[in-house]
Amino acid sequence: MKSLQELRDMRKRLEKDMTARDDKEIAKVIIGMGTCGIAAGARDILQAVSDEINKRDLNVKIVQTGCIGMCEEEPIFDIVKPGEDRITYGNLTPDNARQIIVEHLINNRIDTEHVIARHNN
Amino acid sequence: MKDLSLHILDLAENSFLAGADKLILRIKEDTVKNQLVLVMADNGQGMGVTELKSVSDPFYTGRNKKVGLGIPLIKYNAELSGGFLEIFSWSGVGTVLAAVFEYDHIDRPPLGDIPESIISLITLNSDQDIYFYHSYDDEVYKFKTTEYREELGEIPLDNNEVLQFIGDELKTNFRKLRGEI
Repeated sequence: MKSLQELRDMRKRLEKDMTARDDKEIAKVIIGMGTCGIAAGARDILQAVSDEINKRDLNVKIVQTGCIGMCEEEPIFDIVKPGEDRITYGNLTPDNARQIIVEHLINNRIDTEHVIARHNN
Repeated sequence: MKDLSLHILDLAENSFLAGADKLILRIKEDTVKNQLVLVMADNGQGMGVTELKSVSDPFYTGRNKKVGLGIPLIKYNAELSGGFLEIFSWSGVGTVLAAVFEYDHIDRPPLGDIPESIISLITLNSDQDIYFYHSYDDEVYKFKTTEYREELGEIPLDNNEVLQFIGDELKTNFRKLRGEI
């Protein structure tokens, strides 16, 4: 392990943060991680999304799903905000994924260019 | 799939879908025997004989869809590079998958970014444990999520800072193993 001490210091710091912080989850991002998704680059999308979320310190949960039958549109993710429609974005690249995250989660704008489906929750 | 790290990410999903909470991932690079061995073992629900026979069929899937390409794809890649794929499974116990490749075969997929795949797996399955053993000839690197869990107590493994720490650790050792640093 890199440094046990470093890890222990981190634990102390994070425990303090956790008690101080108590904000609600603002959304869920569901990434398609089936065989088709992974082959189309879902891992890079996951990396970009989690990086963007952490950079902006958003309380968003990232979860995965398998193949949803739209393999030709992969990589795909869904964004679900509580009480709003579930929006499915497709043909993602790390760059447009970051842009969609910012637009949808911060500016509350749906990036219609990449929307491939919309469901009532 | 471009490389083995993506196959690993894909196949690990099968394990977690089968309800596994432990996954062993072993990569053995043996340049003397000219072999690359990938073993993945889980404690998921396992498969019966009939299902086990069907998993290499691209039109078989365990879920509500039409195709299942994860296993056929890695099988094809292994056979293309002078190797083979073998799966053993016991209902209620778990499944072991072994893929063997000829190390210097021109069609052998590269390892790819294994650390990134492990990080992705932890991000998405932070409650499950991953045991990763990577050997390159006589050198071995071991990584266990359980060790981090013990040290971190209540802090979840998918915490951003924790992931970054683990990612650095994995990346450094991945390169160290093959003498790149």
